[in-house]
Amino acid sequence: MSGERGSGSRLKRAFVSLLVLAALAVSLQSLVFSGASFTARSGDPGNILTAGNLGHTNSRDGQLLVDAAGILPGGSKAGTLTLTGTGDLPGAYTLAKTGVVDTPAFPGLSSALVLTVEDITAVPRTLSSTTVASFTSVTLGVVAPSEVRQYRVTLAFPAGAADPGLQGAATALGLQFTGVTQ
Amino acid sequence: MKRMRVLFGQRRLQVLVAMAALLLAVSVVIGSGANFTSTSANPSNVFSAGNLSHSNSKAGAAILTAAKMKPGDVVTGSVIITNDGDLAGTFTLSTSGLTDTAVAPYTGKLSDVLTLKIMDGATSIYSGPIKSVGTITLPGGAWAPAVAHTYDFTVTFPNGAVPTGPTQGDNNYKKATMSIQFDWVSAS
Repeated sequence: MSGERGSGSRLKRAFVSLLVLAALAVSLQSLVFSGASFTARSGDPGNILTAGNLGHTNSRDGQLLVDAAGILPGGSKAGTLTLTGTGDLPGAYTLAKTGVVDTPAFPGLSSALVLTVEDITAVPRTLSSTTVASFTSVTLGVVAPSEVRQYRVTLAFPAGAADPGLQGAATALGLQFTGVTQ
Repeated sequence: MKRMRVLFGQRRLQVLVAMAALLLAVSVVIGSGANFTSTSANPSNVFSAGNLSHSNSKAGAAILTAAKMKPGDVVTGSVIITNDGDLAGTFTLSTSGLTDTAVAPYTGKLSDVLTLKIMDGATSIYSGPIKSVGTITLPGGAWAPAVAHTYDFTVTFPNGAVPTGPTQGDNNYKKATMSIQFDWVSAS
């Protein structure tokens, strides 16, 4: 009987102790929170940064521009294309040679053929005129978004460059337009 | 004899009553005349909470925006933060709400490439990727009331090497958009 009373008393004491500890914890917590600070906030939302787009279309993209098969000394062949700015940024464009393959390699038809690049958007304007072998690139200027340019590329076999060694010779030439943002 | 005792008893009662009355009277005299008093008071002990607040010259608005960015472009903006409360406070700057949108066929996230520089006059507050600002405790310790700082933000789109293909290098960021919020917090 007295043992039951004793354990009841211990339980009571333990409960009271827990109660006191809980109260202490709550008060400490409120002290920590209440002592923290006042705060104020402001925000600057909507900082939106967007990249533009530089692009163009080439009316003869991936296609043969000049078919000069069977060209003879004194003859020439030409092809035209339209370049249109399609992005929302202007770009400085160049037309560059991407490769030349002469068959046979010597004496090389590319050394005899003259490549002429003209801007024929308005009054024809010659931008470059040199042998295919020595041509590297030509600057076309800045093309604005939606701007349309027309170019003519001519391959000529000057009569003065006739060489019996070039009979049956072939040249493959690649050209590439590249625009770069300014 | 019996009557005598009764009388004597009555007298004793009277004497006791009289003595009690006397004691009461004496105590009243002592009680009423013994104390001087002096009092003072300290009223109007008023406790007012201070006010910590700040103004943001572009609160709720963007510090900088840019469209049609291209490699090499630089965008700038500035904001003035003022402690307009009556308590000193420390200030922090952080970012939130970072979003990136890529437009196919491009996959680049603009926040991966844009850099941010924040200056307080000649003092650099931050310089690094725009996505890595974290939380910056602004220099100056606790700002006194009325102290103001102007922060200049500069975002740069670094100009990388010439892309090797339509979706390579910088080309992969074409049409990309990113958005970010700058958050200012002051604490007493």
